[in-house]
Amino acid sequence: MAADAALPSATAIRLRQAWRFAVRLLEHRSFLIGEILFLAIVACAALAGVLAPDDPNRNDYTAILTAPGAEHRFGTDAFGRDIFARVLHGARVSLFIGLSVVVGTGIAGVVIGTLAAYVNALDGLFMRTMDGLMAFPGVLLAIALSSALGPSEFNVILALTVSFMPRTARVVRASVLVVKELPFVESAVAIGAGHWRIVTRYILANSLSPLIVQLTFVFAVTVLAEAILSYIGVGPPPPAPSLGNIIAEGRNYIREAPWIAFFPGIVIAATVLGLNLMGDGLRDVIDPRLRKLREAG
Amino acid sequence: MNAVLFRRIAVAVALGAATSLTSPAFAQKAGGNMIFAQGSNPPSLDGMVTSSQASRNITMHIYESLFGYDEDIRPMPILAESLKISDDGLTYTIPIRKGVKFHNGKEMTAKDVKASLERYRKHGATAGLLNPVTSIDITGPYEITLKFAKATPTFLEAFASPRAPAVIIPEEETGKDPGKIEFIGTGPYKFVEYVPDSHVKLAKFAEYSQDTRFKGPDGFGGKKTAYFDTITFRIMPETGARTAALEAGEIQGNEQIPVPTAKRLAGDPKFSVYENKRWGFLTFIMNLKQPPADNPKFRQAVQVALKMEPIVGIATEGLFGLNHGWQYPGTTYDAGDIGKNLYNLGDAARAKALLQEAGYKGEPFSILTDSNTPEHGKSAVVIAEQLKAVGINAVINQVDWPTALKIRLQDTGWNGWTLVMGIEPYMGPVAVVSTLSGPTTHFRQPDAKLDELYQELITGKSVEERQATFKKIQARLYELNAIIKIGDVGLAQATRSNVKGFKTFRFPRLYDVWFE
Repeated sequence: MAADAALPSATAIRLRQAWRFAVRLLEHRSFLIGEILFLAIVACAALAGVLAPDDPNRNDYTAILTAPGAEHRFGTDAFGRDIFARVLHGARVSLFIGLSVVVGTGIAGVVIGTLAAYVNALDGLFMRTMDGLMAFPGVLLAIALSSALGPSEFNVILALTVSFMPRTARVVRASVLVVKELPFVESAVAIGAGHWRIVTRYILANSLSPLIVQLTFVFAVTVLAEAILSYIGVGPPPPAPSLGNIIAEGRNYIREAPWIAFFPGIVIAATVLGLNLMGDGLRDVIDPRLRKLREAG
Repeated sequence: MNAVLFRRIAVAVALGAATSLTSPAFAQKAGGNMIFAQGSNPPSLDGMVTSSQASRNITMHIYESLFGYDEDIRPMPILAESLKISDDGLTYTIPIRKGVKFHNGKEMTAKDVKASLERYRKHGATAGLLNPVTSIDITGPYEITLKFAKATPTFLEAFASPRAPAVIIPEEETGKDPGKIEFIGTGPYKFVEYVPDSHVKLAKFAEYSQDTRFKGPDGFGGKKTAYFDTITFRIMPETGARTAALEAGEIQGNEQIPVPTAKRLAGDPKFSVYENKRWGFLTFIMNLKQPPADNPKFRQAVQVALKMEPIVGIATEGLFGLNHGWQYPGTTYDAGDIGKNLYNLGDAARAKALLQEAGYKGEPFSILTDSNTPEHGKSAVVIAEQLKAVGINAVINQVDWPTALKIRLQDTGWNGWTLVMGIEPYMGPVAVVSTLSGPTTHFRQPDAKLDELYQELITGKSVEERQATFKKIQARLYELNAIIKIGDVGLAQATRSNVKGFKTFRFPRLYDVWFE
C-alpha cells in the first residue's frame, strides 16, 4: 500500500473508515437481504396511515370474518375490522416497543456493564444482581412482570427492558474489561485524562461493536416477546392493535378465518428474520477474525 | 293461597310425568366414558357455597335439592315428596322421599335435610333466601317443617333456585367449613377426583334412587338415568383448544364453541351442534358512585349513544336477539314496549347534546371487562368505540374474571362494566331485580324507588300484581339508566354425533345422555 504524501486529517480517516465499513456491510449478502426486509417493514409501518387509511379500530358488524378481497386486502376479523390496517398499525406498535426496549437495554446495559468493569468495587454487586435476573428465562420474567404491572404498552416496554438488560450488561462488561487493559487506555491514564474522558472517549468508543450486534438480536427477540405477551393477554390492551394481539384474536378462528393470524404472523417472521440476518452480517463485518476467514474463503 | 301452591306442586309432578324428556326414538345404551370440556375451573365443588356456572355444570350431577325448576322454570319437587302450606302461609310442611341414598350408602332422612338447610343458612352463596324462615323443625323421620314470621308468596321460587342450590348432604358433613366437605350427594353421579386446571371425574352411582314419579328428566329434576360409566369434565380455557379436541375426538362434548365454528361443524356428520338462544342478557352497568356516571344526564347520553345491534351482534358472533326488555319476550313478566323508545338508538347528536347538558369535560370513562368471557371483552370494545364517537373518553380495562369481580365491588376504580346475566333472567324478575336493589346493587348506589318496587315485587300476592310491579320496575330502569340492556345472547354447544339424548339447558345435563 502506497503512503500518501501528506498525512490525512483525523476526520478524513474516520470518514474513510466509515465508508469502508458501509461498503463491507452492503457487500455482505445476509446483511443486505435482512436490511431490505427490515426497512420494507419499517417503511410500511411508518406509512400505515397512507397505505391503510381505514381506522384500524373501526368495527363493522356487517363485515365480520370477511375473506381477503378487493375491499379488504387481508380480510377482516371477528369485529369486522380491516386486518390490513391493523397489521400495519400493529407493526408500528410492535416496532416502537422493540426500539424502545433496544434503547432502554442499551443505555442500562452500558451504564451497568461499564461501571461493573471499570469500578472493581461495584463489579460483584452489579453482576450478581444481573446473574439473579438471568436465572429466570427472559420471556418468563417479562410475563411475570407484565402480569404484575398490568396490560399497557409502557409496562410491556419496562418488563422486556428489565428482562433483556442483564445480557446486554454482561456483553458490555466483557468488552470493557478487555479494552481498559489496552495500551492506548494506559497512555490516556499516563497523560492525566479524567475518568469520564477515559471511559467515554477511549473505552466505550472501542467497546460498542459487540453491543451493536447484541442489540440487533435484542430487537428481534423483543418483537417476538411482545407477540408472546400480547398473545397471552398481558400486552397492549384492546382495542390497540399489535402483531401479537391480532394473532391472539385470530386463534379461535384458525379454521374459519385463517387470514387473521396468517398476515401478522408473516410480518413477525419477516421482521425477526430481517433483524437476525442484519445481526449476523454486522457480526461478520465487525469481527476481524470472521472477516478474514470470509475473505480467505 | 296454600291450596293453589299445593296444587301447583301436584300439577308439576303430573305434568312432569306426562311431558318429561324421554327419547323413545333412540335405544339408550349404557357404558362409556364421557369427556366434556368447559372453560373454567370450578371455584368449589361444595354445591351450596358457590353460584358459579363452572361449578354448577358439575355439581348438578352430584347433588340434589328439595325443590328445583322444571323445564318451564316452575318449582318442582326433587327430593321433596310433596309440600303442604298452612292457610296463613306461615308453615310449610315438606315430606321427603324415602329410600333415597347418599353416595356413602346412607339413607337420607329429615336429620340430613335439616342439617343441610341450617348449613345453607350459614354458608350458602344465596343464604338470604332462607331469611324469611324462622325455624326448621324435624316433624317426622322423613318430614321437615319450615316456619315463617310472615307469609312470603315468592319463597318457593327462590328456594327452588338453581343459582346456588340448597343441596342436601349427609348430616355428618354439615359441620364442616365451605369447601372442606366430602363431596357426597344423592345425584346420579358420584365424585371421584378433582385435579385443578385438568379435570373433575365423576362415576355412575349404582344405587341412585330414581324419581319414578316422572318418565324422564325434567328441568333440574325428574327421573334421571346415568348411562355413562364415568364423566370427566376437562378444564380447557382456550376456545380453540376445545374445538380442536372435539374435532380430534379427544373430548365428546364442548360447553361453548364460537358461532362461526358451530356453522362449520353443523355441516359435518361427525358432530351435533346445538343453539341455546336464551342463554343470558348482555348488559352494560355504570358506577353511580363515580363521576361522570353519577350524573343522570351523562347516563342518558350513554343510553342514547349506544347502537345495540353491532354490540350484541359482534359479542355473540351473530347468535343474539334484540330485546329492550328485562324479561324474555313472551314470558309471564314481559313488560311490553316500556323503554323501547330508548333502545338501540345510536343517536350521536342527541348524545352529544346530553353530554353538554351534563357538563362533561372529557374525563376518562374506564370500562371494566374481562378476557374469560368473550361476550364481555368484545362488547366492551364496541361500546368503547361507540362512546368515543360521541366524545366520551372511553378506555378499556381488561383483566381476568376474578379480578373484574373484585374491582366491581369497589366504589372507585371503574365507571362501566360489561356483564352477561345468565341465570338471573332464566329465574325470572325477582332474580334480575335482586341484583339491582339493596346495598349490594351492581351499580353501587342503591336507588330508593327501585328498592321499594323490589319489595312490592316479592310481596305481590298474585301474578297479576307482580306483573304490574315489574312494568313499573322496567320503566324505572329506563329512567335511571344505571344498567343498560344491550341484548339477549345465545350459546352454541357441540358434541360428537355419537352422543345421543343431549339437550341444551342451564347446565350440560349428562344424565339421560348416552353413546350410540
